[in-house]
Amino acid sequence: MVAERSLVDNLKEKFVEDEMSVKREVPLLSKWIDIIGYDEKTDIVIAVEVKVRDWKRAFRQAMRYKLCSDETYVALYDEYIENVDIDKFKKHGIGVISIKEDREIEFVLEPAKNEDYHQSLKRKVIDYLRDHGEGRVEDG
Amino acid sequence: MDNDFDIYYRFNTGNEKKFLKNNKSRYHGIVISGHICMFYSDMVMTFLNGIDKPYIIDPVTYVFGLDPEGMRKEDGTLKKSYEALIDFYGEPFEQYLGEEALKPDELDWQEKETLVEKTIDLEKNIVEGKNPSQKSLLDYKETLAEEQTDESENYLKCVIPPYFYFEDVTDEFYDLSLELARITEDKTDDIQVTPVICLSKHILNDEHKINEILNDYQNFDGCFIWIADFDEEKERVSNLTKYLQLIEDFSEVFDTLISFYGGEFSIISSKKGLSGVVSGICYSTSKDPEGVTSGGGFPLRYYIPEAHTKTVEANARIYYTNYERFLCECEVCSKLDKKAESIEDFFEKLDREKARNHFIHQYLEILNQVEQNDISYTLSELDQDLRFCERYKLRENYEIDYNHIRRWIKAFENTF
Repeated sequence: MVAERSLVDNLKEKFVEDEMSVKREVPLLSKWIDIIGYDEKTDIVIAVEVKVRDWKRAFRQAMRYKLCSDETYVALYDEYIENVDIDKFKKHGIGVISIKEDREIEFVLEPAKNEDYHQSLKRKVIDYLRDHGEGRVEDG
Repeated sequence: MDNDFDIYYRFNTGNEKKFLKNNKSRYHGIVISGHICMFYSDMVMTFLNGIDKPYIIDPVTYVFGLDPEGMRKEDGTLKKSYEALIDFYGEPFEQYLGEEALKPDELDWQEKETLVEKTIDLEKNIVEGKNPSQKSLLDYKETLAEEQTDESENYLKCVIPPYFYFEDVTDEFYDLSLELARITEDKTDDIQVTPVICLSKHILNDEHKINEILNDYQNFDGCFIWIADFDEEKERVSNLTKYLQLIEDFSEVFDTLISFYGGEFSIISSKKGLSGVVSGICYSTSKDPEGVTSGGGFPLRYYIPEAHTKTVEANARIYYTNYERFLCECEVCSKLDKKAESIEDFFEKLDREKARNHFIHQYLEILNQVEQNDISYTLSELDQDLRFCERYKLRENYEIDYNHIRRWIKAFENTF
């Protein structure tokens, strides 16, 4: 069985390749977001909940991430991706990513652009990345 | 307040002081643990003298029977509040929190008398400032006396005898608790003695044992019921049903029957004869007496009226961001909503005090609804809320659990 952590590592590499600031375990209110990517050029925050197989739990977590992100994804191990109720994700604008054991990443469903995020929480996430993230986040 | 059912809130931290003072029309009384009384004696005395509400002191003597290891912090030291408690009780009780657990058969008659006398002293004299450890506080009393009026409502509601948690009626802690309760009754003639019956959940399954407890305690006017680790929102229907049956049985014998750790289900249980509940403000509605003491603060929680539960801020935010129209319209939230420009702004303005305020406002509303209507009306209201939560998938999409509503309805239906 593939470990959740290795799935997160794969995603992290992908964010870094895309020249995004990236940080795993980012606080959001009383919980932690698995991984956040921030594109400072476009001011887009991408939040991802990573699970090996439990897509329902991942979905609930991802719903929260919409509070602070422009785009929200659930990333799952490829073997369990067929269990996912894609319509549910589509309805709530959450994207789905499949990660294979060989590190190949496939975007199964693109997320909707979220416009209902809470600006104050998005700001806090960006500030956290500025203080703790890898890659550069300009001030202001 | 003219409710027949009393809501008591547990006072735990200094920052609840102002809140409880500002909202004293929304609850009936306060419960403070003995170790908090001893460690923050100045603060507690001033607070109780100034708040004008009935209060109860929980002597928490059950901790003497617990494994001292479980009472220690991560660094191996005893919490300072418990140190203050054992300082007050002195020899021979101080060894039980520091070194080893009290064994029920090791106290001789004199030690039992001392335990009772110390406990009565702790509870009766905290406000008077007459405890041996508080002699210096008598000065306070003089100052405070000037602020008191003849109509002062701050009085000790009852004395709780020393008590211990018991696994079974054959457990020696059961006999010890009963004996200590009787000694307390003998030594107290100016105030009602109300024992805490702190029992294991599995006893609920045995009608004979419940009857034995009832028989043993029947000479007391009332009692507090503490079923260990009984979480109203998590218990199975069978346990909730047995709890209701216990309430029905006990309320036939006792004038006062109060749930020592409870919440909304206990409030609704007033229809079965429960006369009060002791609850935390926006946190614990259950407690395992054998559980390890936890430190640290609680995350901000917001009470979701339609789900009859509290949830962490993040869940409430995302739920109301999607369904702004469902935002609570209670007095507290409406005021906040008028000042807020958006749901985001509402939650930015929602601090711990406002969340607590909303919570106790809701509890009082529930109590008023329950008292003004018959149980079938309350159950139909619960059923409507259940359907609402299902329709909007509060659990599936927002991690706001509501399945306890179904279990509550079923448990009440089982007792008709």
